[in-house]
Amino acid sequence: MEAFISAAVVLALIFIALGFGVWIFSGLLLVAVASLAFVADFSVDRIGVIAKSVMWKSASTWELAAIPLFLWMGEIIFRSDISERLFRGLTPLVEWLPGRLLHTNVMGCTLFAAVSGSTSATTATVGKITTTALAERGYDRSLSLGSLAGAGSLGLLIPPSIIMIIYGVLAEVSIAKLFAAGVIPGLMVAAIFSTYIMIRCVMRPELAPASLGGITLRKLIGAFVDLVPIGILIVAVLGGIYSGIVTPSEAAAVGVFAAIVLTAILRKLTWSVITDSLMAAVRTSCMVCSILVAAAVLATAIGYMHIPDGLTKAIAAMELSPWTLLLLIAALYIVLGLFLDGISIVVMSLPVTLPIMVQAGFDPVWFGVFLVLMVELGQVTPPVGFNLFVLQGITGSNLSTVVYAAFPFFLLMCLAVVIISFAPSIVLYLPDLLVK
Amino acid sequence: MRHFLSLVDLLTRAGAIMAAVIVAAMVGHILLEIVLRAVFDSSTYVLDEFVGYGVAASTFLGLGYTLEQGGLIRVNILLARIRSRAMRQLTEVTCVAACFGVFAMVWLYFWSSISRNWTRGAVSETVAQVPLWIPEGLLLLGLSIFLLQLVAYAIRIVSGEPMIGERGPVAAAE
Amino acid sequence: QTYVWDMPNEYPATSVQGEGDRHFAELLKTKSQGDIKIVHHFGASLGFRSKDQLDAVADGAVVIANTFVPPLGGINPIFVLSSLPFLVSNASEAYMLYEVARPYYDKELARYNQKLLYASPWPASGLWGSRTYDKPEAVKGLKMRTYDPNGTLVFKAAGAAPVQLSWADIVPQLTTGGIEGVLTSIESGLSASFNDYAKHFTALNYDTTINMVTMNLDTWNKLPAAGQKAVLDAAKETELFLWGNIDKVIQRNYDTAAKRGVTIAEKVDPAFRRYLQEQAEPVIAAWVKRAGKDGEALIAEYRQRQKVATTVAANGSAN
Ligand code: NA
Ligand code: NA
Repeated sequence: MEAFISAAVVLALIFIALGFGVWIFSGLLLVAVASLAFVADFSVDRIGVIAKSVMWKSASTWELAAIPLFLWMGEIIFRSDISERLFRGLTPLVEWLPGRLLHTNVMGCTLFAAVSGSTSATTATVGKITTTALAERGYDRSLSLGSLAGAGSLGLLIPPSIIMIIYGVLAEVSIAKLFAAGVIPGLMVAAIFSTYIMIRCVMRPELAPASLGGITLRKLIGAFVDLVPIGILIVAVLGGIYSGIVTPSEAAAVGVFAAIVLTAILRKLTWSVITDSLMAAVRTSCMVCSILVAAAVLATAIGYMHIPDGLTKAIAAMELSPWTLLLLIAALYIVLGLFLDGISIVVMSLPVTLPIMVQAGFDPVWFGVFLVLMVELGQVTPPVGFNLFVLQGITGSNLSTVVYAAFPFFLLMCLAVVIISFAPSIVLYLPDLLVK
Repeated sequence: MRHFLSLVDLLTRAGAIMAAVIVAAMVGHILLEIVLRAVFDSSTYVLDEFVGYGVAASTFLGLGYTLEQGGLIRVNILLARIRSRAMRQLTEVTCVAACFGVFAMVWLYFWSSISRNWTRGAVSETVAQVPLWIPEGLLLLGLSIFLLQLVAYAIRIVSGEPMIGERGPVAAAE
Repeated sequence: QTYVWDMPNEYPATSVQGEGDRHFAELLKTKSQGDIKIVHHFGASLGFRSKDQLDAVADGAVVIANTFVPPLGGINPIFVLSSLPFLVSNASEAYMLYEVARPYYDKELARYNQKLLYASPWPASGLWGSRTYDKPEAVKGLKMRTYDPNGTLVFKAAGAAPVQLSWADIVPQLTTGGIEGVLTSIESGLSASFNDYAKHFTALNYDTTINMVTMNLDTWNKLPAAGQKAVLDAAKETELFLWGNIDKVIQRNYDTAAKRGVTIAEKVDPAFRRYLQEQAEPVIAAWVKRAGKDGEALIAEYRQRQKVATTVAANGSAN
């Protein structure tokens, strides 16, 4: 009961602080400090050392480097010829597809997911390259923002994925199996998103601009030529990782390097391209990373208030049938996802939820994929939804616009959760096949 | 007063440039590590340590600049609804004050941690043995610039200059 | 009066450290008649890593913590002691080293405003890889991941090519063949399922590191005598249990590993181990220099006791 009240108080504080218009990172920090002071009754000194320690720890994390570096890569691509060529090249290829270039968000994020396990980096990089181009061509803004918010978290499900490694260690499940298990559900979510875009665009053709006319062989050849630069970039980064020369955490630096070299080859490289892209990357990265750091302090405060512990233990005490249990656990994760980041959700809840789920007969590999999907849902729910923040930052839209745009995709991800619950073999087929 | 404001602007610019240089250096360090490992069977042995320091330093050194450029996001529900400019100014100053308060507190505890690490002579347990006050000190420098920028912004609001949202399209959404 | 103490631990609830924490919490609850309750925060879920926890306990951010101490070596060299390469060769020698060092640990930790309750060992580290590494030639040019500067120095001297990698990159690098070997314990290798890619574990007994469970000194001093007694008794009992149990834990890990198809080389050729020990000597000497008089006295006493124990054992087997 105490955990429920604390959770409600924290949520209310977040709504008040953010609603008042405080910058989001300082708002989250304020809520963390206030709830430690008033709910947990800690002294100012104790709160101060906690905040300092957690901020330093979360800011000086090597994995976080993917954010500024991929952002820089995205900004270079945005400022060079590469993105223009990408869209010019794709246009004739997707002519037949309802929604045409709107699918670039989903496709781009899926591809990026094979490189990066950071949702913020994925959303920001792909978004930087696509949103302006799509808006200029007259594609529906809401559908573009929403698909980006939804597909931006595919990186958690499609390997490499740090959150899966963490789950694997905590749950003592083979990481190779988890990586294999994420692939089909990841592609399935992407397919659901694309199908939704197609249906919307068939029902309301004005969501996409008018077609530019038929496809000729000449156009197709031109298209492939235009796609060469981005193709080289993708091969360089993916090839680096899958040959073992580059680790996933290092891939972003290779991306920056390749983008600079390609821009130079295309004769678009100037000093101002480098400095402008770098300064823009610094701005977005400061915004994203400062929010992540503040959210880490908030997560610690929530841990001190024993909220995840209390909520999970309340469910564990109920002795439910497997399906009711699953439903409640899903609801629990949606609640935790309102105000916690993904890794915090996993590490805070797992010691209690995993044993009860396994005891109820759920496969731990399946539960890992289920959990990652629940974490992805949390990325697009307010008040603390990192994909929403990133999209607000890179597009300048209001948070409410982004939330509204992301909502259908939130529902589609819920649909994906329902599908894997009724057909667990979607998750378990590949790991059983590949990993002995 | 004008001297103070231009000094803050200068510091903010310097912080932004440092942040940018650090990001570029991180790319350089990672590429160096890849080459060392792949070609020379060697390593710098400090990659995750240094890049970690780099992320922390660049995030905070660039914070003042990001604030000034309108790159820090917020929920605009309230500000967009207040008609009276005086009330908007008041709300904005309250936001600045709240932000200043909480980060001033954090500043104090970073300061005490840094001075403790200085007196202890604490170093990182790696090949590089970096004195711990240095990376935390860079973060503190960034926080200081950010706090000064908040003060400068409050002064600008009170003296009637346009607020961040009123300066036309935000820089980050170019 | 009742107490609720938050206790962070970087490692999973199911790890040997997590088991130890829960054992301690149960004992403490019983011995304090339910007055002292521990709330566990496993997997670094409270936002502190081991290297943050020395200060977290000192400043009272948490009352009690389970901390992996070697990364704190830059603050005080004493914390590196248990991770010195090839200084101890099994759990009982590790306990001997701990007994010798305990007064020093107590003294040094008091400077950081905390009290050492008990130390909890990890299974010894060895080499995970695609082969058994049983002679000097086997480690020549081996691309492997080490976890601290000492390991890097020792294996470099032994002719291997140690690289530094972040923890999350190990599995992807093993998959793609970027590295072949990983220096770590049987337990942590299993928990990160290295066995999917590395089918051999060579029990080099490189080190037997310890975690320390410490509590804030101010809280300790304010605790009534009965509470202090409960804490000390629970700590002592937990410590005896953990050190007495470590060989069983290792055996359990070996069984699990064997079930997952891992070949375990339990006995390492003494000549090979001596070779590695020789590479480690300069590293140990450098540590003694860093640690000053205390370090010198400590190592000397440990080596003296080790010699006695070895002689006794040799005589025993001769009879
Ligand atoms: Na990924
Ligand atoms: Na959320």
